[in-house]
Amino acid sequence: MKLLRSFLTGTALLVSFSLTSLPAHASSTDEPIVPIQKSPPPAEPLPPMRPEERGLMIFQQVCSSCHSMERAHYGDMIGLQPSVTALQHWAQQRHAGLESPIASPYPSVAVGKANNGGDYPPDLSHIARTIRGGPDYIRQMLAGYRPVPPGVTLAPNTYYNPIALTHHHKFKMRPPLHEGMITFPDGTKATIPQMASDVTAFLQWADDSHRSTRHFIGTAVLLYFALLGGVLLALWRLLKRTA
Amino acid sequence: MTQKHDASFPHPSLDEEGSLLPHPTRRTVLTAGSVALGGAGACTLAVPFLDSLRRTQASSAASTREQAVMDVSVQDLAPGAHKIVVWQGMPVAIQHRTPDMIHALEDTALLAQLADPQSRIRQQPHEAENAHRSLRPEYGVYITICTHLGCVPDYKDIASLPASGGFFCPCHGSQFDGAGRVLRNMPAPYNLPVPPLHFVDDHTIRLGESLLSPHYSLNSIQQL
Amino acid sequence: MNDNTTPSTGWLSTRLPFLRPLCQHMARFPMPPVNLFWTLGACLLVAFGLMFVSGLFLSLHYQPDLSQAFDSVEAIERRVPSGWIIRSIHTGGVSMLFAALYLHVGRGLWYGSYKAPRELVWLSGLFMMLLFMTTAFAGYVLPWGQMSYWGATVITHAVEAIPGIGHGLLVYLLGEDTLGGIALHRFFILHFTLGFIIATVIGLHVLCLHGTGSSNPTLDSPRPDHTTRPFAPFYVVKDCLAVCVFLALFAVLIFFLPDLLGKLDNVILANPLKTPADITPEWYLAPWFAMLRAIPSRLGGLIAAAASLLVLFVLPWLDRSPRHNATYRPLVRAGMGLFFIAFITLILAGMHGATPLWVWLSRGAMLVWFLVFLVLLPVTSYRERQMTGSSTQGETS
Ligand code: HEM
Ligand code: FES
Repeated sequence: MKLLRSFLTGTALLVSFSLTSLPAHASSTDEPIVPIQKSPPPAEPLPPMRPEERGLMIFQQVCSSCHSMERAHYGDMIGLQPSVTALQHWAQQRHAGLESPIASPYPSVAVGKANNGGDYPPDLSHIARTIRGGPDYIRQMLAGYRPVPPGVTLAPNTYYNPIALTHHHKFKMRPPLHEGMITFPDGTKATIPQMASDVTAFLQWADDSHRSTRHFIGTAVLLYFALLGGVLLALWRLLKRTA
Repeated sequence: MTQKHDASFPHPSLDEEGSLLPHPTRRTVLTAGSVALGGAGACTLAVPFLDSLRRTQASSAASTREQAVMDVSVQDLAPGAHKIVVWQGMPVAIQHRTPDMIHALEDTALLAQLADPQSRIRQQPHEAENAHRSLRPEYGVYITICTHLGCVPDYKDIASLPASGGFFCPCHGSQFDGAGRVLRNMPAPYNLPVPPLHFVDDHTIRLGESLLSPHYSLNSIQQL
Repeated sequence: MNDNTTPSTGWLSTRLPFLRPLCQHMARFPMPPVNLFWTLGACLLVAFGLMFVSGLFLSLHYQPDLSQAFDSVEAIERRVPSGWIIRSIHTGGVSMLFAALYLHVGRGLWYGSYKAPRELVWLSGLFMMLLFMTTAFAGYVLPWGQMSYWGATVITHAVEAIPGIGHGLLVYLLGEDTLGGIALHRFFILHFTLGFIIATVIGLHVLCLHGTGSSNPTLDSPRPDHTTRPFAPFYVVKDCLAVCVFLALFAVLIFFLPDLLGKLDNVILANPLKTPADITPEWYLAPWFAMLRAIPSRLGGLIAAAASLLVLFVLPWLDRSPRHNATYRPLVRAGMGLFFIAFITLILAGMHGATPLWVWLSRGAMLVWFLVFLVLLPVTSYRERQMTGSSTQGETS
């Protein structure tokens, strides 16, 4: 009886503790995004954005005009853009819905190739994991375009990028990032290295969106086992002497 | 480990073993602690499993927004004809009534047989609480999900009063009149629901949005 | 735990009369002074339980259909609430389960647990190991990524090596000429059903063990310890403690090192026209993959891989020495040590490319494998029987 009672109260306590300690799911508040043109009063601090949130903006405005992210749905971006209205608007612009995959803008592989000097823009769903060099490569490559050095001739639709993996620096992706091309609502300046790093953070998120939650839960679970293990160890040593 | 409650109750602090607040041994504390911790862990483990049965966030957002409003053209409906459209996954019957049918809906012989002839129970927006249970007398719009246990009634006139039209549920035999009003002593307790709607123009019905009762929705009715 | 009947326990035990004797049997089960390796069985029970439950919930969201399988797995990862936790329990759980399984079997080999009177415990365990290997293989096909597809293609084609009927059998098993939708559906049903079959075999395994009791690792030592303790509470707590450590390692694997064992290429949809650069199996099946590769003839490889498992089944009859514990059998100790090294070598060989170095290392490891079981064990056990036969009349445990 005693055992049962302490079990019940203990369980109740711990469950309520562990439930509240789980991170809340992204709330689905649907306020439409505030237009950013209105210059905010300078005293008020701007709402900070995570790098991957800025990265989503870059993906929406730049990368997705050539690349697909077919394993993800428009609605999956709710983790970075809590406004369903904004996501819906984006999806509708691309003739899709929240539950459709972020498809390639090209009707066929042939058209995609023809538009990009013969190379089809690869799908970005897991690119951060599958490409050689991983996120570091992506970050450097995006900021790695250079003026053509003397003595090098480039075919049409080819761009000089000493970091890029394909075609010996004669890369087929036209330089996607330009200084100041995006106005971030948090006031971050859209420099090329900044955007390269933000969009890489987004691609990592798209490949593995649960990373931070996973580490958080993992830590909680390990603390729990440390506690339980400590109690069990004490009990075991006690029993070793007596039972 | 064993307690003698009754003997010790009047004198809580008399003897060590039977006191009201027993001095638990180290072993009891550790055992209870590990059982409690282990049980709590097992319960917490159940959380992700139960969580996975929840519908996904985007799909709930999508279903409430994307299909909430639907325009239906009734241009193709001749007087006396009807059709079924699917709105938010539910069958919605739209009928174009003839003057005779509209007239029959006010027949006292019919009204006497109905469970709720005045549409007092909230199964429709206020603008449809009238003799023809619809916005315009010539168009009746009803969600044909039986208020008994959810089967889909089909068109079938009331045997004794065929003029008004009607709906008949095949599952347990509930009979409704042409305005979706259930007859007395039927398994179905309430009239068929009227969806929120308004007329965009003379030939187009917009389902899912009521102009006169903006707060009317299927969540606010008695029973779907 | 409390022996005098109180009204609250009386109600249930009157209605379920077997409950009291069963609980008492479990609680009082006499345990010899076993060491920490004997807690692996409990870890396995827990690991299997987690696999079973997470598998059930995954199959609620998985679609065993050629066009939907891959996407349904992506949906579990991206959209199903907490789906990624459940999937990581299942994918990480395989490795934890096999690690515990191989240690458990290794314990049995080292301490001679396979010997009389525990042959049935050993055989049921081995049978279960085969079931686990099949289940894991079938499960690995289900996500229908590049590795799923090509791993399954390579392994199923091993069937073709069977003379005469090989190709016909392969087509029969796949249901069509190539690995496709029919095979995927079959793999799913196989994987799903085997979980339940294994659950019953586990029951059988524990039942067999409770007939004879656990073996005593101290019996062959100079100072044998014949004392026993009841299973509850000491061994219950000890098992719980081990499970706690096991689950902590499990958590480290799935929450902090999820990519340690995962294969990159399996996040790419299966493409029957493009073989990935290097096809390697998961580590727990790698030893047998290495064997298939080490033998130049396809049929030979198949026979060698099968024989390496079959030889374990006859172990109780190959080693009939009254001694159990390898610690006190110098030759067996060396042999088992070599075997463990060979096993690890085979795992590594299977996970690396087929370079001549790894192929020769696998061949050496296979030689060790068969020599230890087919030569060393019978010979030493013959000698030991002669020795003990002359001194004392064979003691058994
Ligand atoms: C998921 C699979 C398995 C489960 C759940 C399982 C469970 C158990 C449990 C609970 C015990 C008693 C505790 C212990 O001695 O550790 C045990 C003992 C044993 N198991 Fe397993 N087992 C599994 C697989 C195997 C396999 C694959 C083999 C052999 C090939 C095997 C052979 C044995 C033997 C010989 C014993 C008796 C050990 C002794 O007392 O010396 N088991 N098993
Ligand atoms: S469900 Fe319609 S009468 Fe029962």
